[in-house]
Amino acid sequence: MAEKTITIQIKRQDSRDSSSYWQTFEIPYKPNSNVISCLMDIRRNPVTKEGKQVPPVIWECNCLEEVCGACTMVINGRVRQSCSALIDTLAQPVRLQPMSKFPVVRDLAVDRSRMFENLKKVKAWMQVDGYHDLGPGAKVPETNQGIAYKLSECMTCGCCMEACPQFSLNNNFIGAAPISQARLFNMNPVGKFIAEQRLQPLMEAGGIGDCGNAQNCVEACPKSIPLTESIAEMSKQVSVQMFKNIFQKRS
Amino acid sequence: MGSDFLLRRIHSITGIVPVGLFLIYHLYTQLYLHHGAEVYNQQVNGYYDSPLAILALVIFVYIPLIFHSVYGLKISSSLANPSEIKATQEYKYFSNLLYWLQRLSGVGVFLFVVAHLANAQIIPLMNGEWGAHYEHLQGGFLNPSSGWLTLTVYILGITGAAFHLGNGISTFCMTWGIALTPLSQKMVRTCGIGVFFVLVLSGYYSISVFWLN
Amino acid sequence: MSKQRVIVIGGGLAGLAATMKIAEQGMQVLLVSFLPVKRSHSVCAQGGINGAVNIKGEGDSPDIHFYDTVKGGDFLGHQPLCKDMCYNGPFVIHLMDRLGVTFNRTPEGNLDFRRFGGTLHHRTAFAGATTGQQLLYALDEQVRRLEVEGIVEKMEWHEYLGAILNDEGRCVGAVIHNLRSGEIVSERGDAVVLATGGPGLVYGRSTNSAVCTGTATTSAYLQGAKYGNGEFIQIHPSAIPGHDKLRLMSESARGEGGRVWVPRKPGDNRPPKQIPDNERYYFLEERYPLFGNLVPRDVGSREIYDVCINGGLGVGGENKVYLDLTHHSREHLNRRLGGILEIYEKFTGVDPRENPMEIFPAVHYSMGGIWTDYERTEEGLINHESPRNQSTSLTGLYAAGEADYQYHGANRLGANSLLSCIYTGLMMGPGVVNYVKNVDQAAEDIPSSVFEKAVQEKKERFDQIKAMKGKENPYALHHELGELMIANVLIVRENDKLEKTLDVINEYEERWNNVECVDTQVWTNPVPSYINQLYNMIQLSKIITKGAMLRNEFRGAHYKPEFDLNQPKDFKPETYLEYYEQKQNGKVNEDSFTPEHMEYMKRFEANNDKWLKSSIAQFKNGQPDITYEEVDTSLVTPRPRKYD
Repeated sequence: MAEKTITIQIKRQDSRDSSSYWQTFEIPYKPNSNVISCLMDIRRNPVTKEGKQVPPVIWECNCLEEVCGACTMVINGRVRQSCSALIDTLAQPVRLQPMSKFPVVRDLAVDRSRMFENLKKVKAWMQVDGYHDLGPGAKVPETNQGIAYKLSECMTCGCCMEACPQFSLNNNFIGAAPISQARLFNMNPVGKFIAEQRLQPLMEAGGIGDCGNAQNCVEACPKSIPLTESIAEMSKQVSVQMFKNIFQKRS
Repeated sequence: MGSDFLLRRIHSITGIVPVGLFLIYHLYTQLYLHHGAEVYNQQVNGYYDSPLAILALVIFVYIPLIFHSVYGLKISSSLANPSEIKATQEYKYFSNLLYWLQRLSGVGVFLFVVAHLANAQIIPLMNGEWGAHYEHLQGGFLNPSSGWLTLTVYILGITGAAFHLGNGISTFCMTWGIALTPLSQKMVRTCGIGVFFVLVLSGYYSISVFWLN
Repeated sequence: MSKQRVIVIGGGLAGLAATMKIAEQGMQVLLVSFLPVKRSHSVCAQGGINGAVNIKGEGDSPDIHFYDTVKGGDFLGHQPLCKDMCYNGPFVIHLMDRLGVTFNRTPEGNLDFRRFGGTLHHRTAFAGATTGQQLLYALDEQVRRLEVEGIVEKMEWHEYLGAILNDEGRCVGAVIHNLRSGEIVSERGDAVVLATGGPGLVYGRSTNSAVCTGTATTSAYLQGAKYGNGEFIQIHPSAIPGHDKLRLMSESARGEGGRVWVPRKPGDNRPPKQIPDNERYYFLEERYPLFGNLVPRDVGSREIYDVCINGGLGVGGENKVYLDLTHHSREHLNRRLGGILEIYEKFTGVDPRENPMEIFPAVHYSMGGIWTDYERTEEGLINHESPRNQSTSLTGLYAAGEADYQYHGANRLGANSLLSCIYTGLMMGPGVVNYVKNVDQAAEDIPSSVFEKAVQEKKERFDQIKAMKGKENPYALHHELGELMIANVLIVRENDKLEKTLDVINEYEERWNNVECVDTQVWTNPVPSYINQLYNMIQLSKIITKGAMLRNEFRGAHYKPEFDLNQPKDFKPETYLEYYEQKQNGKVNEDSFTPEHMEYMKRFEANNDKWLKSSIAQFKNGQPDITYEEVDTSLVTPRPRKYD
């Protein structure tokens, strides 16, 4: 009997501006493999199915346990983390592509700095007075903590944006994750002091208004963060803010 | 607060008030077809008895409708990158389907409205036949050579418009932050589907009158 | 003087905390990170962060935390640092709370605390089971804010290649490698802080992330910095076996009541739920009635190893034991441990709420690291203004977090790492700024030739690497190194094996010269950098192995059966304190102790005289030269450890 193998097709691209091409690799089957362990196997012997020696495939990864968000890529057409993509659950050949909504750096690695810039826009941080001892923080009800904790699990991986039909390489839509982060800080007992400053950027071009309610974000989120709930909540907040902007204007 | 955001919000609200409400009123009026030509024509023409009828129509229907259509087309046309569109087609979720149908129906309804206006208002006006609405429609639907086309266009148009409004109600509730939780979002979606069926059935019935009468 | 700045290398908890604290004092910071800081290895910390806030009214205090910490570390930790850290524990937790960390709460809205290994108190604050992630994000957010405010500049996708030393050997900048363009440049900095984490990848597969190669600290060692306690590598008792990584199963699983067991009958192949309670061997609970499943990690790992390897009781005859949480309700588990249970389910396909998890120990943390200094006060705390704090033996080069060596002694307590990372980052801030303000010459004013020379050296090094055309695949060689280290320098250490291992590592160093640079493209090519890291990992594995070989004792995570002092079963640590007191007073009444105890205490004392010292590795003639340094144990008398 022929030895069991895993076939992987990878969309490669040498640099930002060069064109892409596909390569196929075949590696021996190991039980409980995931996409990263296969990419590691390929790296140790970077030879295509046709027997051609090629440079090892470039991809991003770090934690390998789906908490850092680095290894996000499109696997068999769906965006997800490659570390938790178990080979036994995937149809073969396994097709690996870089995310399409971010500029490719090389092979499967993309440049997701847009997401981090967007976190700056919505001031996704606590505006504290200093890092010295100012005593304990505010008390928080358990139920609020439960919601906030879920939101704080966002690892800025970009799955919600890759799956979103409104988010494009060519536009400036902020995407679901930063909207959800704005919600997280606006619900903090102290974070809400600058809630308005988080709402204003959401009311600019590319802000929350660009959401088209396709709701793919919440389906694609590997951490099951209630993104559509966040979007609805922030929609409410900007709705109120809109009327404040119009009717409570001070010269 | 950017103008983009305001325009989006205006686009969203005009879809419900007044355009959505007008659609409901309009389809409701069509039910008078049930009573035949006299009642129907009287009902339609009666509206124009008011000296402000045309002005009201322009302000409350045509301008909002034009804005909603043109801005809606602009929003839809910004999704121009075919490879990105293809990338998101892999997500076979009901919401995603509704998202695409909303855009498709928007474009379709826009074309339908243009054709409908031409057929029901402009052509009769030019031919000097304006006022005999029932007869005009009847002639169109029962025309042996082009009747099937008229019927098809109207069925698609009514279906598209009813869908666009029904689904629009649930996206409106999301956009304005009215339906917050997944459960309430599901509820407004169910209501939207209900509205869709009511509107579609009433529209179909109104047309069927020409064969039933 | 020209404008000054500090360079921080590494964007994990320690690096971000240091950046924040230094920037707060108005000092510019350049933060250099291998990858976006939000993806740093700190996200993997799961269980929580220790601080004696005493929310549960158990009478917990920083002093008890301090005692647990030094006892857990088998008294090899530097006590003033440990004490200062524990005294700052509650502050650190409150600060992180203020920074928005979504810590779990009590019904009254207070911070909730759970139990962790090596203590009898509820002392661990936690955010679900992904506490490290939440802490890291809170610091990341602050640094992003400081970036917007213009006081911090971030260079992500850049690798630190080495310190730039001026003629007097003072660190005045760093050589930085742009991982995308491939450029090698110099950055001027009046001080450089290495917060580059641990070296788990020396073992190939560990609970560590892909960037944890220890290469930055090793490069400091290769430049002459001292490396401390390298042989003390923590093996975490519970990890999920895997090909690419041994994923951590947090100690919080046991903190929340998880029970470790194996079937009593070897090779019992029944599904775990069908094995009745009386046929299950809850070996930790039986062997350690007081601490039970929450013994310190070194003890836990050794016992699991013993049960599987020596007892042959591993599940299904393999090296695995059960970690069982199924006696708790799903709701309870999801609320307190959701994150880690999801990980287990995602990676094994088995629902740990329904079936016991299968786990085995894995390399987790390095207690050792770059040697760093400190200045203590009379009370045995730390003078936070001192520029000596966290300074390496190279002036101007600092280290923090897992990269340093002096907090956790021979074994780290669970949930103390997050504390030590944030604490060191914050604590060192004022001292670093004081140092920078008092240098004779700002880095900006130093002749550019110093920097050009350093860059030139690294460029030549990388040109040589890119030209390597040997037969070995560097990734495959790394794999071999990892397997070698796992097989020989893990839980049980034997001198003959260690000696052979050292020979093999030296062979690997030879073989390294014969690797092939399998990718020669300039743009975004990680291979040359990886080959360089592999070289450093080989050097680091020598520090670990040689340190382990030379340290002929059993202390904490460093277990040499040959040198076990064989503590009598009925011995109590208090007995030793009695003896110690008598001795301090000038005369020991030997009759008040049983001969067996007396003999043991003498063995214990002799062993401490010889080995209660930090091992210090220095790079000499291509090999680690190992010497020993005194440890400050003036606050708590070192005594035999006992957990049953």
